[in-house]
Amino acid sequence: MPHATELLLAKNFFKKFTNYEPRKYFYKVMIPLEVKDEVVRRSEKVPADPCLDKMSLMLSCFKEHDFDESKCVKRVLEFQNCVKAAKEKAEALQKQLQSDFADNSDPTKKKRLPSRLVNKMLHRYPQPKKARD
Amino acid sequence: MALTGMKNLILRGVLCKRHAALMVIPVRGKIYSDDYISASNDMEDLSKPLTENDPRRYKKIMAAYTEHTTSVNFDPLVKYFTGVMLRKGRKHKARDVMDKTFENIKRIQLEKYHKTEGAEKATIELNPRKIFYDAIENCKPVLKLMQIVKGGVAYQVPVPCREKEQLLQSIKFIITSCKDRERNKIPMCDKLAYELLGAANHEGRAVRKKQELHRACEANKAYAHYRW
Repeated sequence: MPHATELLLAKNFFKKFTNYEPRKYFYKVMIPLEVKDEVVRRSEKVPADPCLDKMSLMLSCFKEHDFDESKCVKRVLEFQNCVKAAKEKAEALQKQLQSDFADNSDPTKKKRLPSRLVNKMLHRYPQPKKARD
Repeated sequence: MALTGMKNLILRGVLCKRHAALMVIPVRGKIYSDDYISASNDMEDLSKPLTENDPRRYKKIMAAYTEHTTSVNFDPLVKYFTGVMLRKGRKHKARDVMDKTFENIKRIQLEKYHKTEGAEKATIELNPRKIFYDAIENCKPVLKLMQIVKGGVAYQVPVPCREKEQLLQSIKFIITSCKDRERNKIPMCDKLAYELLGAANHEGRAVRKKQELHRACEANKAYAHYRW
């Protein structure tokens, strides 16, 4: 049975209702709240054109003529031209990616800058020192 | 023991470097820096007067290869073929085999030429070098098989073959089809002559090897998209 003295002497009488009080935030600064001067590097691989349909056409032609290549000259040429064109295209794209970002300045051409160029840009305009102190 | 194997042993700590120094086999490599340009053996190129900005004016030039001659009979493809064929550095022997092969081809074709009569005579090719070129062209594979591991399983994936790989593969087809145990006592120059003549007419073992490769590519056609 509760005694009145116990109730009156209790320090926090309404202890269980503390959740109504405004919250207090305590935090410790572990890492400075600022953005780094670089982003994670990602490889810039150009997806190669597969030419898979041309390859399958050529192989089916080979199978039809018992692997006599002289009867499928047209198909072979088609396939080889496709491979050559795909290679040239990939090389041109690679060259464009590797070029300086003066070439990539047109926003309509490319919406997302590659990580290498972002790093270059961040290196040129780093975080101001005042924010760090 | 090969040099790479030695390196692994050293890394594992089995051997120390002092042991390795006694067993290392010298590996041939390029000893020239980028300041040097390679020597040309092309007479047309050499007979022209030098222009003002020609790199030969201010750059050093490498020593010429021993087999690089300015002879009319020099052929870069024949040189490459002998280089692939030679074993244990016996280049003289490989070169002799090559010369005898061309001689054999010429003899066989001349014999055929004199036996035939009428309009068929004009169709027989007498130039052995042209037969050689045709044979290599006919053995070039369009595709090759590449081993790609996906999900712990190795797949044989057909991929397009580059031009340089095609050339080397066709030469290897011709040479390996000559080197077999059944015809061990026949000299290499005879076997090569017959193989080249056959390959020039889309016949023979080398062409069949190329077709087998294509057949394997056809069988593994379903895995072609595993390349990406």
